[in-house]
Amino acid sequence: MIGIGLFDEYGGSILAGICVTLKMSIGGIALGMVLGLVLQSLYKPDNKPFAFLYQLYLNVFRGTPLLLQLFLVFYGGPYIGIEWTAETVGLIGLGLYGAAYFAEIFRAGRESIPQGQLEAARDLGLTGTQVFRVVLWPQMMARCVPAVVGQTIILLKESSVLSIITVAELTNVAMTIAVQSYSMLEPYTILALTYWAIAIVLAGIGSRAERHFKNYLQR
Amino acid sequence: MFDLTATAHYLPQLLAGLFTTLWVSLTAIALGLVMGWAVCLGLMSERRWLRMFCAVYVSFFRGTPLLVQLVLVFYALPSIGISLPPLAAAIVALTLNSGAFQGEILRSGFQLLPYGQTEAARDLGLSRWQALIYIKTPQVLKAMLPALVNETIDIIKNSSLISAVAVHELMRTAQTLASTTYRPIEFFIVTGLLYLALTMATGRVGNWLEARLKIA
Amino acid sequence: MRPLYSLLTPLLVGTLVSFAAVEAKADLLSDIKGRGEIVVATEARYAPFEMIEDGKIVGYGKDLLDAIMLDLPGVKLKQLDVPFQGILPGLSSKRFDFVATSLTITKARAESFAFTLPFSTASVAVLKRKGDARINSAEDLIGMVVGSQAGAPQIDVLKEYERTVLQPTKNSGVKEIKAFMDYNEAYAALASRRVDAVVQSLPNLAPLIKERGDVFEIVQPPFGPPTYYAWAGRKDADSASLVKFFSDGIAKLNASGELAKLQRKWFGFEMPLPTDAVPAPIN
Repeated sequence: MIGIGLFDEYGGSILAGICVTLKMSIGGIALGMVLGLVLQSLYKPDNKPFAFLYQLYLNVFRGTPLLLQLFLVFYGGPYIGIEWTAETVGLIGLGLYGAAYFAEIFRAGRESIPQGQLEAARDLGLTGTQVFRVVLWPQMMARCVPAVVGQTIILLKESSVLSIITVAELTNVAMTIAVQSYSMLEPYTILALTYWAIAIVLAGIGSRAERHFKNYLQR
Repeated sequence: MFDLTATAHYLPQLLAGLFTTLWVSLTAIALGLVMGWAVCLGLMSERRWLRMFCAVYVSFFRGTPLLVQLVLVFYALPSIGISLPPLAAAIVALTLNSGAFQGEILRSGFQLLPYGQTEAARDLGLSRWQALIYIKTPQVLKAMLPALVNETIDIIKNSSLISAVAVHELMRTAQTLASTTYRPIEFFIVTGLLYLALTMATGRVGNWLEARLKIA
Repeated sequence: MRPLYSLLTPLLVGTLVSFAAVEAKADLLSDIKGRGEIVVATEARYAPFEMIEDGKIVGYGKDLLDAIMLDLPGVKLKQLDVPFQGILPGLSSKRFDFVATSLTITKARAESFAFTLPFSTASVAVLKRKGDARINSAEDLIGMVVGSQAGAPQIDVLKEYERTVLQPTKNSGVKEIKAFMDYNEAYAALASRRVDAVVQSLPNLAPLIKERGDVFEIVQPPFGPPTYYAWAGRKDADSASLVKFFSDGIAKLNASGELAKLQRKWFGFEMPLPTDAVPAPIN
C-alpha cells in the first residue's frame, strides 16, 4: 500500500501539518468572512466614492494571484516597516483575499431580499438590530450558504500556497518529506487525499447547513 | 528608495513571462471547455458508472489544490509510463483542473433549460445529438458566460503556480528579478499591475461578448 | 467509429512497441544517444553555479555541462529548471535522466544516488547583514533566526554543529531555522530582516558579496566539515555508464586546466579538488 511506511516515519509531521493547515484556513476564512461582511454592509451604490473603493478592492484582490499578494507583503513589507511573521502574513493575506469574495457573496445574498420586507419589519416596530438578526441575517445566510461553502473549500486549497512563504502547513511538510525520501508520488498522493477528504467533509457540513437555513425560506 | 522606474529595464522579460502566462491559460481554458462539456454530459448520462466516474473526477479536481495536481501530473505520471515535457504537463494539469470546474458550471446551465425544449426539438425531427449541439449547448454557453469568464480569470491567476513544473511564466520571472535586484516591492507591484491588466481585460472581453450575445 | 479505430490501432501498437524497445535497452547512455536527447534537471536559482539571466540558464555549472556535452555530438540537451524540492524525487521517478545541479555529497544521498567527481568545494559559512555586530563567528548564531533552503544539507551541517559544538559548550542553540523554497528568497529575507543570518556554501557567497557587498557580509571562517558539490545520476546499472561519462568529463576538464579557468571566471579564485575518487560523504 502506498504511503504506509511513510506514515510510520513521518506520521507526526503530517499530523502537525494538517493542524497548521486547519489553523491557517479557519483563521483566514473567519477573518475573510468578518471583513467581507463589513465591506458589504458599508457598500451603498449611491455613495460613489465608497462604491469606487469597494470595486477597486475587489479588482485588486480578485484580479491578482494570492501568491503575489503574499510575496509583496512578505518580502516587500519589511522595507516599509511591516515585519510580520510568515504565519501572520499568511493569515492576513488569506483573510484580505477571502474578504473580496465573501463581500460579493454576501452582497448578492442581501440584494436578493426584497426591500419591502425590511420596511415592513421596521413598520412593525422592530429595531435595526432586530431587523438584521431576525429578518436579514437568516435569509441572507440561507441564500449564501452554497456559495460560502464553495468559497471556504477554495480558500482551504489556496492555503497550500502559504507553503511557499515558509509556513509549515501540510503542503510544506509534504515538500520536505519529498526531499528527504526522494519520492514525490507518495507524499503528494497523501497530500491530495487529505485535502480531498477535508473538502468532502466541508461539503457535507455545507449541505447540512443549507438544509438548516432552508427552513427559513419555506413558506 | 522606492523607485518603479528601476523595473523599466526588465520590462521585456516581464512581458515575455506575461505572454507565456496568457497563452498557457487560454489554451487550458479552451481545452478545459471541451473537457468540461464532455464531463457535463457524463454527469447527466443515464449510465450509472459514467455518472459516478465523472462525479469522482469533478470532486477530486475541485477538492485538491492545483499545486498538488501539477506536481502529480509532472512527477507521478512517469511512473506509469507517461512522461510529459514541462509545458505539456502544465497545460494538462490546468486543463484537467479547469475541466472539472467548467463541467460543473455547464451542468448547472443545462439544469436551467426547460424540459419541454428537448421534446419540442425532437418533435421538429432533430436527433438527440442535433438537439444537444444546435439547440441546448449554445443556450447554456450564453447563460453561463459570466461564470466561464470568472473561471478564465481564476486559471490566469492559478497559472502563477506552474513554475513548480519548470515553466517560466510571469510569476517566476518576477520572483527571479525581485530576489536578484532586491527590489521586491517594485517588481511585485509591477507584476500585480500586469496580472490586473490581464484579468480586467478578460472581464471586459466577457462583458463585450455578453452584450453581443444578448442582441443575437 | 471505424475511421477512429483504424487510426488508434497503429498508434497503440506503436506505443507498445516503443515501450518494449525501451525495456529491452538496459543502458541509459546508449539509449540517450539513440533518441538524440538528454533530459537534465537543474535548479537554476543557485548563483553562480546555475541561474537565470535574460531567460536562459547560465553559470559555472552550465559552462561545465556545455563543455562536457561536446563529447556527445548529436545529442540535444534538454535542461529543465526545476524547484529544488523536485530535483532528486524527479530523478528517482525517472522524470529526468540526470541531475546537473550543485548537490552536496552527503551520506543519505550517496545511499540512493550515484555521484560524479566533485567540481567545487561546498564548505558552509555564515552570511549576515553588513555591519551586524551581533554575529562575528558561527558560535554567535545562538538565539538567532537562520534562513536556508527546504531540504538543503547546509541545514544538516548547521544542526550537526549545534549538536556537537553549541549544545555541549554553550548549552544552547539557534532560535529557529526558516526553510525557503530557494536560496534567493533566503537572501531576500535576510536583506529584509526576516532572518538574522543565512547558512550557505562559501563558493555561492563569494559572487553574492561581489555584487551586493553593500548589503551582505560573510562571517569567516567556514564551519563544519569540508564538503563538496557534485552532480548525480540514478544508482541502477542502466545509469552507471552515464554517470561515468559525466565524471570522466569533469576529470578531463580538471586535468586540462579548463576547470580552473571556469572557477576564476565565476568565483574569482581556484580551488583544490579530489580528482581520483568521489570524496567520503558527510553525514
